[in-house]
Amino acid sequence: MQNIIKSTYRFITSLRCAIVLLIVLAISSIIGTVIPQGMPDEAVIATYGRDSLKAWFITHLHLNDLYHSPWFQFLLTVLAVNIILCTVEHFPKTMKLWTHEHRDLSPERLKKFSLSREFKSDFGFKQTVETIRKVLGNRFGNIKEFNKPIDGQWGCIAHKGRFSLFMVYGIHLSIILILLGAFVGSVLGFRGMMTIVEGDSDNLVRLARKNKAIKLPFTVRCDDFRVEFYENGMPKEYISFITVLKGKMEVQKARIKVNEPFTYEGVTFYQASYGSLINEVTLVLTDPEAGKSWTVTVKPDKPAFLESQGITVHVLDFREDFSGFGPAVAVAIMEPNKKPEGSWILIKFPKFHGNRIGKYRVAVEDYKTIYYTGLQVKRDPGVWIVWIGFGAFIVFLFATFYWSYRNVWVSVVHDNDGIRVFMAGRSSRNSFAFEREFDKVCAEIMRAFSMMEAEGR
Amino acid sequence: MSSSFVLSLVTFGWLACSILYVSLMVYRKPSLGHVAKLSAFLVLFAHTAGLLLRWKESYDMGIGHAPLSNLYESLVFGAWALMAVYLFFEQKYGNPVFGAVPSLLAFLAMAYASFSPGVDSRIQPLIPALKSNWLIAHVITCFLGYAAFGVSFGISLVYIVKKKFPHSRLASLFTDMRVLEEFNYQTIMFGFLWLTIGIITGSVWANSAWGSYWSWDPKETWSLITWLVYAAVLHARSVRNWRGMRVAVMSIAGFGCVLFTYFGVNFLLSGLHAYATK
Repeated sequence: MQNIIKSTYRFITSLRCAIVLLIVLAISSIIGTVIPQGMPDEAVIATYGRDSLKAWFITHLHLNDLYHSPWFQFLLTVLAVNIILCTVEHFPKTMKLWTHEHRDLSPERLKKFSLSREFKSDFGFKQTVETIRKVLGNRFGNIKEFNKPIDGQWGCIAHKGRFSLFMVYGIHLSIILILLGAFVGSVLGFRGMMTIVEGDSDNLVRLARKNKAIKLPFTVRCDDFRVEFYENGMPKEYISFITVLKGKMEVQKARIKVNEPFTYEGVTFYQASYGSLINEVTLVLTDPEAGKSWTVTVKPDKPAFLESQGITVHVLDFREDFSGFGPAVAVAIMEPNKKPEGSWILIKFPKFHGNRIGKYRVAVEDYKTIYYTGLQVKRDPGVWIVWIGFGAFIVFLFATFYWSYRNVWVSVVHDNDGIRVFMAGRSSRNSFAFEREFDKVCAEIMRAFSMMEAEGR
Repeated sequence: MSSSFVLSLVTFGWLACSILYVSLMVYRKPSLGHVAKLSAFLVLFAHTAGLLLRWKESYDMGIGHAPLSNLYESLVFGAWALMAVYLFFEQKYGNPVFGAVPSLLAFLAMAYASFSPGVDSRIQPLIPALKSNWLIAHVITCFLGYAAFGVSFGISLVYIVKKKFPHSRLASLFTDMRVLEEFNYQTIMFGFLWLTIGIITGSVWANSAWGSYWSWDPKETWSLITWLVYAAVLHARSVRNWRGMRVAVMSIAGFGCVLFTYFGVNFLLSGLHAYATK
């Protein structure tokens, strides 16, 4: 049992687990882009058939709302745990690198580095050491020396950018922050829609993906909605003019455009959609047999009673575009003791044979529509955590890629062969750039030697 | 001179450059390298001028916006970014022989933009969803990322050729494997950095335009998949010490994801990014 726990823990803390998770997440994400998202279960069953395997898979694995399904959220949670544990497991190794000093400065050891140089000095031991000390001090700041320069053997370590070792943890921390922000937002926030007809007001937000509504502590009134077009007919701007009300009091007026949301008391409103409703329609009813016509004006909530015929005319619905035939209204005619009859009446085609209800031919003489605006409403208290995570991510990514821990080891040996300098270097990243830097340091030391030579003569 | 005229000249300019880079590979004359490099810089200059001219023309029409708003403009900018990033790295590493793949890709992108009947090259006004300052930041950063991955794709191809046929004439052209490998790594890091910034700027923009910083839109999802692939490359390299061949193969796979994010999502999947299809 303990073994299982141990090996499970070892797997969760491994890079292998991270890679497996990333691959599984990637494949599930791909599935989510192929299967239509947001389709209700009933629609899936209707599309693929009740007994089809596909419908069974989609509805049982929540593939129609994959990114919000429990198993996908679970995978994301495991990824977060994996990142945290990997970091915790890896941290001691980084600490070791941070504190570790490569103390073996013997020439044999330094020569084994992939980046190493060896050259002779024609000067006194002390002078040679002094020069190297100066050059490295200038380039690397602090240097750490071993042996006193009297023993005939001197060595030092110079390094910079040691903090860069920790930058990668900053990246992982930023990812955790982003996931945390998303979690906070999903638990403490909400997201939904509000549809308000011009002139109306509302305080209910229908929540996305839930059969629930939230009541805002204030009311929003839509004063006006406008659509502007460019000369070529492309939409230019969708604008809602709204007023925030507390009780009967007008608290604030605002204009909401796409890309210009409006926030009030932590609740943000976005221009998301719009449409139009019928406000008033004037109908001409003709009885071809009697050769008579009547004109009635109807509102959705105000049916018209035509006394001479004993009928009531209702307008039920409006479409801006009815199957490509332009605007249409749904009209119903009720007569006592008879079944109500109704039909869609095409406004732009008064002669259309279908513009007929019972014995009447129906034509639209005039109609007035009214816009409604669709506002997306959101409260997300976690968004600031996400922003901080994003900012930190970019900073730490830059630091990880373009900052490195660079070490230079030097050993000066005085023996029968004279004075010899051995140098070696290593960088945690960008070894090419470091190679050039290392060459520069060596060149600078040699130049200092040659200058001393010139002075000496 | 109109921008579309300049940009159609640029299309042939990239064709000429790719021919020069290829003949450099075939004839291996250093002088050809200089000519190729010089002409690449000239064409890049003309390309930049064409982009700026188109920007100005949109203002003359009274619908001024950066030329980054539809498929035509993104293809033109993509080709520009690819060659700009390539030339930046060529300058840094001083080896013009990798140029064949990027310049050929740039030519193909430009030719597709200019000559495909499905791509509308007219300057169109901005729809409300694109009216934002984030447009420039988001598109430029994403394309810098894509471009760097394109360059890495070219290097990876060269790397594989050199590894599989070490004694071929082609292989003898390129600098040693270590330089190639380091060059590849640098471009992947560069691309990853910019793709990350591109996704983040897109996310911040989406929060004010669509009301959510992440909506699992197919384009978002595919850019995340691309990002995950390159993140895997970087981790495998630094933690598991993957080098050379494996990195090259993964980079090619990653570039496949880039292409799908760019083309595949537009044409095969529908979503909020639909304005990039025309």
